[in-house]
Amino acid sequence: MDNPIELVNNWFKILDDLQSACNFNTGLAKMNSLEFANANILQNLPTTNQQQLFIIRVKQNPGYDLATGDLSANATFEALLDSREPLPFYVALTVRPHTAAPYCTQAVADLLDAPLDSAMPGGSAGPAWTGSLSDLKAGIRPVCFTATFQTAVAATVDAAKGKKVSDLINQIAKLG
Amino acid sequence: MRKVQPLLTIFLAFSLMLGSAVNSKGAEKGITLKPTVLCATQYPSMQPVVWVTVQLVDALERDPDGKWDCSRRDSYAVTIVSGDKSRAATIRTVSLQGGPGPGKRFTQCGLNVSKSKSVVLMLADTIDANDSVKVILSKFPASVAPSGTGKLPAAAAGAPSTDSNPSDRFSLTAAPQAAPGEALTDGTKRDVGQLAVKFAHPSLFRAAPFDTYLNSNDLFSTDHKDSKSAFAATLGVQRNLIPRWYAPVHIEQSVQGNQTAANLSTVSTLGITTLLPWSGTGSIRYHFPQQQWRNKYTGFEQVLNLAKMVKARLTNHFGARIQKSPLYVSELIQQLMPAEDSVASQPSKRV
Repeated sequence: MDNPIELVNNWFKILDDLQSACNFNTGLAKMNSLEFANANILQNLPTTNQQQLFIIRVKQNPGYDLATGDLSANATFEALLDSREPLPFYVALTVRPHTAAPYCTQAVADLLDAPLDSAMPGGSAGPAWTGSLSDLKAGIRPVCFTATFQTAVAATVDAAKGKKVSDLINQIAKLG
Repeated sequence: MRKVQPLLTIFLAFSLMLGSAVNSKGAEKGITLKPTVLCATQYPSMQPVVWVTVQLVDALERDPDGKWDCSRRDSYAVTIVSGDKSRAATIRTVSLQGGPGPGKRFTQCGLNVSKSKSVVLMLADTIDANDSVKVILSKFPASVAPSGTGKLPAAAAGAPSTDSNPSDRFSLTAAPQAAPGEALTDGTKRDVGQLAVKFAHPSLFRAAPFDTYLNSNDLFSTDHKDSKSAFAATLGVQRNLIPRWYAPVHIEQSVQGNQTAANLSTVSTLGITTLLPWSGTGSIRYHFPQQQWRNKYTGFEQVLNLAKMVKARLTNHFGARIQKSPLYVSELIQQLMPAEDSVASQPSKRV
C-alpha cells in the first residue's frame, strides 16, 4: 500500500482531472479546488448536453464510467469522486498510524467505529492529533484545509467525549 | 442430582466463556459492500445498460497481498432478487475505474495510486425498479466473503436521469375516447369513436453497435373520413460518432398519414446533437458574453462575462444617456445586467 499521504495527494489530482473534464464550462473551470469540490453538479451542468459531455470526457480521463444517475445521486463533485476514490478512507489511513493502540493497527472500518477520546487521547495537544495534523497538512491542499478549518477540527478533537473517530474523519473529508 | 446441577451450570458457563473468547479473537468482521445500481448509456453505441458500481477499498485492505483478482468476471457473483425469487445475473464486463493517463485504464486493484479502487460491473441482464442486486466477492481470501445489496434509485429521489432502463422493453398505451360532432373530410360532422395509440421502443437490438428505436403516435377513428385520424411512425438509429465528445448522430425515417393511407408522406431526417464550442474553439468562447440570450442565440453555455467589460466601457463613454438610447445594444446591456444596473444613478459624463 502506498503512503496514505500520496493517496490523499492523488485524490486532489483526480479532482483536477474532473475539473478539466468540465473546462467547456468556464464557471467551473475558474473555481479553486475547494469551490469545485463543493460545487453542485446539476446546478452547474444543467443541460443534458453538458452532462453527457462531462460523462464522456470523464471516461477518457480520469477514466471513470459515469451515468446521469451518478450525477443526480452525488450532489457535489467531491461526493462523485468519493464514490470512486473515497477521501474519508484515505484520511482515515493518514490518521490511523498516529492513533493510540490498539486502533493504530486495526482495519479502517474498526477504527472508524472507535471512540474518539480513546483513539486520540490528550485532545488537540496530544501526539495523536499533532502527528495526524502534520500528515494531513502534507496531503490536503492548503485551500481545502485552511487555518480556520483546522481550528474547527481541533475543537472536535478536544470535545471528543461521546464521539466516534468517523465523526472526525467525515468532518475533515468535507474540506474547508 | 442436586450435586450434578451446579457442576453442569459451571461447565456450561465455562464453555460459553471459552466460546466467546475464541469468537472475539478468531472471528473476522464481515465487510459490507455498498453497490450502486444504475441505468446508463453506453458510448459510443448509445445502448441502455444496467451497471453496478462497487467500491472495494475496505476489501482491498483485507487483501494486502493482492491474491484476489478484481478484474475477472468470476471474482464476482451477482444475484438479482425480485420479491421471493432470485436469479444469477450475467456480468458482461468488469470495468476497472480510473487509469494512469488519458484513454488508459488500470488493470489491477489495490490501495496504491497506480491501481483501481472501484469497479463497474456491466450486466447483460435487465432489472426492474423494485429488484435488488446482491454482489458477493467470490474467491476472496477471507472467512466471510464481502457482500452487499443495492437497488435502482427511486424515481423521486433520483432527480432527472436521461438514461433509460433497458428493462423497459417498450411502452404501449391505447386510450379510447368519444368525439361528438367531429369534423369529417367531406365537410360534414358526425359523432365518432377514436382510439389514441402510442408505442415506443427505445432499443430494438441490444447487441448492436448502435441504438435502434421505434415509436408511433396514432389516432384511429370509427369513421375513415374523420379529419383527425392520423398515423405516424418513426424508425431511427443513433450512435455517438466521436469518442471524446458528445455528438450523437441519428438517422430517422418517418411515415405519416391518415388511417386509410389516402394521404401518406414519408420524411427522412439526419441530425446531430452536440454541445458547442468544440475543442480548439476556446479562444472564441471566451469572448462571448454570458447570459440567457447567449444560450438562446449562440448555444454557448458558459463563457466569460465580457458584458461587464463592454458595459463599463460604454458607460464610461456615453454616461447615463445609454439608458435612454434607442439603440439595441443598450437594451441588450440592460437585459444582461438587470441586477447590477446602477448606471442610471451615476452622474452622466459629457462626451
